[in-house]
Amino acid sequence: MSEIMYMINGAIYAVFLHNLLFSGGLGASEMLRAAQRNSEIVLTSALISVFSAVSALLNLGVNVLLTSQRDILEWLSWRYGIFSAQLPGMQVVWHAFIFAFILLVLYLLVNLVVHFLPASKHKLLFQKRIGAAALNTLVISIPLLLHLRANTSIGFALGMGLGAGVAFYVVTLLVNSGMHVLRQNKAIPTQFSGVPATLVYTGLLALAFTGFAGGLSLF
Amino acid sequence: MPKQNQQPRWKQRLATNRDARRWNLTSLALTLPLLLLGYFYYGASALHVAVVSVLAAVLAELLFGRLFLRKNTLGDWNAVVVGLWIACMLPAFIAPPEQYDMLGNYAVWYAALGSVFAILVVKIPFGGTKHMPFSPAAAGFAFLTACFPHRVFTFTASEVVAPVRSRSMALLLNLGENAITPNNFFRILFGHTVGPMGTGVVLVMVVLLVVMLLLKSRRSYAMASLGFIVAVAALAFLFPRVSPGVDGMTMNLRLASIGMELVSGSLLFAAIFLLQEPSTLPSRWHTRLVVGVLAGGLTILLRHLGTFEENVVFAILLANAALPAIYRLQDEWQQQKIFRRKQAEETEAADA
Amino acid sequence: MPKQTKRVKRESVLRGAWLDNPMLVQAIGLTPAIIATTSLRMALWFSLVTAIHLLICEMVASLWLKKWHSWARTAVYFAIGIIFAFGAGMLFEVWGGVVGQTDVVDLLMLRAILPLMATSSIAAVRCERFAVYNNLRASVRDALVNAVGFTAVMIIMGLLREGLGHGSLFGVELTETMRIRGFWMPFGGFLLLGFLAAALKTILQWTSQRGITTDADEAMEFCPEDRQERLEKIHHLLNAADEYEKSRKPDDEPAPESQQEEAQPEAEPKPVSVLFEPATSNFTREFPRLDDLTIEQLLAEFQGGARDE
Repeated sequence: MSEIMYMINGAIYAVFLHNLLFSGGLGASEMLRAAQRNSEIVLTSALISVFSAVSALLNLGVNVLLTSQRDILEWLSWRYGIFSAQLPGMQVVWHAFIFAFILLVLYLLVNLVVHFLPASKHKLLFQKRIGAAALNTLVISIPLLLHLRANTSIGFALGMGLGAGVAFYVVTLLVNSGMHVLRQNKAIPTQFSGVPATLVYTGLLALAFTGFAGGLSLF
Repeated sequence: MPKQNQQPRWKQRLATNRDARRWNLTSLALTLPLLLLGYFYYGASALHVAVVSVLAAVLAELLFGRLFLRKNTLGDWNAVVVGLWIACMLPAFIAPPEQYDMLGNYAVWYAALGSVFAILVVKIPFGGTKHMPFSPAAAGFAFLTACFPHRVFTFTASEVVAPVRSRSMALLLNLGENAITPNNFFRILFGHTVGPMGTGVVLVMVVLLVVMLLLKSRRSYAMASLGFIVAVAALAFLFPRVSPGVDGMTMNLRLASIGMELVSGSLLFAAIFLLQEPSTLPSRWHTRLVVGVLAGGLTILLRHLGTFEENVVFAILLANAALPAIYRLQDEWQQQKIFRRKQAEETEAADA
Repeated sequence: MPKQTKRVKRESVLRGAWLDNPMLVQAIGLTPAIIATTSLRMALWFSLVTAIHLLICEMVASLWLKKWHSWARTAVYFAIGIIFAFGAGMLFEVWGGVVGQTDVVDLLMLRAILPLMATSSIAAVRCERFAVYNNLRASVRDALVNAVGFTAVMIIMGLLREGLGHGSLFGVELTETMRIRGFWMPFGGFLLLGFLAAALKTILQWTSQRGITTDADEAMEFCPEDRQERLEKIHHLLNAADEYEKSRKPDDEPAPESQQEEAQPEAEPKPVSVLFEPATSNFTREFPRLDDLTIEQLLAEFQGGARDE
């Protein structure tokens, strides 16, 4: 039961308390691109959820494994000189490398599986969106944030992973609807029409979400 | 893929400049009593802050309106109203750090900054008064809250009347304390509390809301405020933030929780003035009621989960942003219905 | 393999960085602008690492990846990004350990956010939009153009956010009074980007080099009504292509390559390769500028590309 509560906490954290897109700009470019295309928001958000959750869980396991093998890491650093484990935060660099590598392997596996599926409209749609959804600053930030916060709860990691997709959906929907309003607004000055007005609108949305997070950056 | 609904959803509520001017002058007339009360309670500092805030807003609109909108947009008096509302939500006096004593009352600088932000960022890029997607005063105060969270909630007590408690009602509620008792109930209604300079006198704000409900031009907009207050009251009753007493969470404590939520911070002021931004509300009174309820729910959610002492302005911004999203989902759902019906008709025709 | 487009413009690098700025015009690579510009030093280092990453990705894409599947190419960009992020992170770790923690706090924060550079959209989007369709020289030029544009925006953002938000520059405190937290907060980053984009548009209007509408604006203006119009335009052009084919006499010109391949005797079937196949879809769905594409490209686009409807 407590893991389920942790999961809900993780999801609420990712969506509201520290909205990943507005508190760190994670996935901002992909969010703006998805906001232009009404039909792909749900699929992209779902894929982000899946990739975030799976990579968060895999990296949690790696985290625990690496922490338990500290002696080996220290020996390695002593043996090879410059890779000193005494430097502050050294583990972060190694962990980030491993997190990214795991995400890459996951991405390749999924693409290989999809590649050998029979040809269909859905396969083409999936292939289009998998790259953008998987190799995304939002997805790679989940294991990084969990590591920086020294969080080892499976439920929280899963909740944060799933919450990343929900956060992406909520934010993209808000920005998409805002873009529709802006498109109908003929009074926008020419200097602000298009990208500038959209960015200012997104900034004001981020200001609205600051009420939850207090404006603190994720990192 | 079904075709997009061709008709624009966002018709201008204030169709002409005359409508906008009339609206803003009414808002100004309704806000002036609160400003006068602020002067009564807090002295010349309150007027000083209000004047500078209004001047900053007017100058910003004059300068940036000419630069970007290429026309004089001051005629609708919106800048005056925005500046006044931001000033009303600030303390009358914020002491500067010792080494910067020459800068005087910091509230003046913050008011000017908030007003310039409201005009330059929320109003001008989107085409002016009739097209703002967010409430500019709410966004301006939200900016000040995010930038100076401790300073904008550092209140000084009035020298004219003794407050019921030395801390603000919002802070007391965050700490779980209940300040409403039968002895001080009327004192709280008359604004004998520590708080923002223009939002303390609850009784006057209730009267203003009643006046709005009586005015024909404001009645349907006031439904949004009514929905907001009802939602806050209901949620405060169900999820009180006041700590339970020895006897647990009694009915009296729940009712006191409603009172505390409504009188704390700038909640009533935001509900009555900031929420009723014509360009951010839908067209019919019952949908405005629903938007008000949504804003009230978001306010309580933010008060439970949020970081700052006062979060109502962020809730109003979220409600402003949520409305287009609700319309979007509604449009898509209707289009999907039409699309499925047409597909079914085509299938039937093909079978026949 | 699609032929070289006519979209390569012969402009100076500085002018290209300005007119086709990746952040302010194309709206890509926004995450670094929000996260990595809270100090000027961090912005400079991040820009340097990203520029090298972009250059190498575009060179690799132009030289070797043209025949790969788009998803395989994306994996390569990501792998290059990981290697760079790791190497740069190690360098900053060593420097931080040598210089001392307090002096390079922002660099120590940088090592936490450098891995995000691996997934930054700027390299992937530029490679998929440009490098796989162009030669090495054009790709290097495109990388330089985008790197200069990216760095310029990062420097301006770093200056403003650190100067006005923290009241310092390069860690040296300038003022204690003028510190507006909102500038270094994420919402301040978005707002600053929006205003910088507006400023750029204003400058472009004044100099009348490009006019008001840019590629990104055309994309941002997209809605289903435009899609219908676009499809009608494609239909019209396809009809024109059919008429062109019918009117062309068999002896006048050699047939296009696709028909020559069909006319050849049956060749041995190519081994099916997972990675090496002609790219038919892009990493991101880009709306082609119909006037710039040749008829063969339009046919390939319409028949081979994905459609949402």
